[in-house]
Amino acid sequence: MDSKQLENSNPKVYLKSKDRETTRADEDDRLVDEIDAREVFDLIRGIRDPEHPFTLEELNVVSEEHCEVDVKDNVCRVWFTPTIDHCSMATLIGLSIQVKLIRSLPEQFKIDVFIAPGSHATEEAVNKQLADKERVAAALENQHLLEVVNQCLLESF
Amino acid sequence: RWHPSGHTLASCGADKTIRLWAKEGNSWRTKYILSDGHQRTIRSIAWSPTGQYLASASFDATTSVWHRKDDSEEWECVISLEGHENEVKSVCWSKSGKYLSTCSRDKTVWIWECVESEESEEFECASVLTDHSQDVKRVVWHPIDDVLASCGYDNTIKLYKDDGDDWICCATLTSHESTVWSIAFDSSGQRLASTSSDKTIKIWQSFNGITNWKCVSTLSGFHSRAVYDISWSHTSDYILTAGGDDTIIVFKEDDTKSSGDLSDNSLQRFSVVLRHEKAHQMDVNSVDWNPAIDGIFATSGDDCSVKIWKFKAHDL
Repeated sequence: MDSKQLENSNPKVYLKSKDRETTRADEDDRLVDEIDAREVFDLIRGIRDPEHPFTLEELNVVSEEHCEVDVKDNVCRVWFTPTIDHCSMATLIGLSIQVKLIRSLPEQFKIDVFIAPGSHATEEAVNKQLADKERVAAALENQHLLEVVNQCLLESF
Repeated sequence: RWHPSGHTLASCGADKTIRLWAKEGNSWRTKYILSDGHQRTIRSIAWSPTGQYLASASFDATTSVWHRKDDSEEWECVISLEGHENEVKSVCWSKSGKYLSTCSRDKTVWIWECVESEESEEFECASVLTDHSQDVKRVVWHPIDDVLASCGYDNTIKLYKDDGDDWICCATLTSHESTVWSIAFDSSGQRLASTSSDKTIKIWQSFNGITNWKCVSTLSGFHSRAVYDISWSHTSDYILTAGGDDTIIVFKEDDTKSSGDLSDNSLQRFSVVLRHEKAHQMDVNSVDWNPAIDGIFATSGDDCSVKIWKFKAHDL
């Protein structure tokens, strides 16, 4: 088995959830359609894992239950679960989720991305790094890193 | 950041330029744009105490010093200071004008000595301080003495002084539970205020010199997200803070005489005199009291705007 490159060489793959059903209210342009958890989930479910040909949804890294939107305070929170508890890609995955949401949601939204409690060995350190907007901004000025992130986001819709 | 005269404001940002603003009639206009000095985001700028120089710290790992050309509105980059391994986060001039300090994500604080010579400006590295264990976010000089304070990602604040031989770390202030983003001295330099990702603001008081500091007040429950910047007015003593919750707050120290029991200064109380939610559309990143004109302050935010405010204190 090729474990030289892959940290988790045989990840468990989960079933995709069904697409959101369109309701009559969605087609009514007169109604204000507020951003909800499902919409945030739809934005990030198609992000690719940095080392596997699967999406974050298929690897169960993200799920609708772990997305939260507070429209009143303009806050969006996402908790993600790395596939293994010592995954060195955790920061990169979190960064990809953050970039996707920064690009997609209205700019006033505060975006908080965390590791699901208890799912990673260096949870606190990764969370602190992801919450530091100055370091996130500096990271995204790094051409190489930005390419990797864009690669992960390529086929997400 | 305000020019020492209070009439010009400088701003910087991710667009790699510095803009100088001044009042023209009743409106503020961009008077000059300093560009081509940096390859990446300009994170911080600082005026020299005389106002003749402007220093800028950038994510491109360099610090530039700009000087106004004689008898003109134009500024030119006179020197680029290199040495940090990665992003420079903050820059500050000492009150004496003798030193310039920078700090970086490489965990170090550098002290540069300004060497006056005819026709050219030179800076010599006087010390590289490696006391922080993480990313250093901010450096601030004491308002009177050549004492430097720094803070950062390791949740601590550190103070440094020249012991005659070299610069040494003479105090470490621990109490914040997350990244310390900014620090500000009061006008006497006896007190220091700090703000953090733990959403609190702390006031520290020095006892018997600059090596012994004690946290005398923790202001919590005022900001709902990280507090990114603080400015302690040296003309009126008001404290101004700003944070990731788009809010700006002005605090004033309670009159200790009327509350009686605080004569030993061991506990100090501060009250909110102004709270402005939605001061900006997005995170507020910096606040600065005008050093010369009382009651004026400037703020800037992630929404790419700079705002100038007039603050009137009501008699409480």
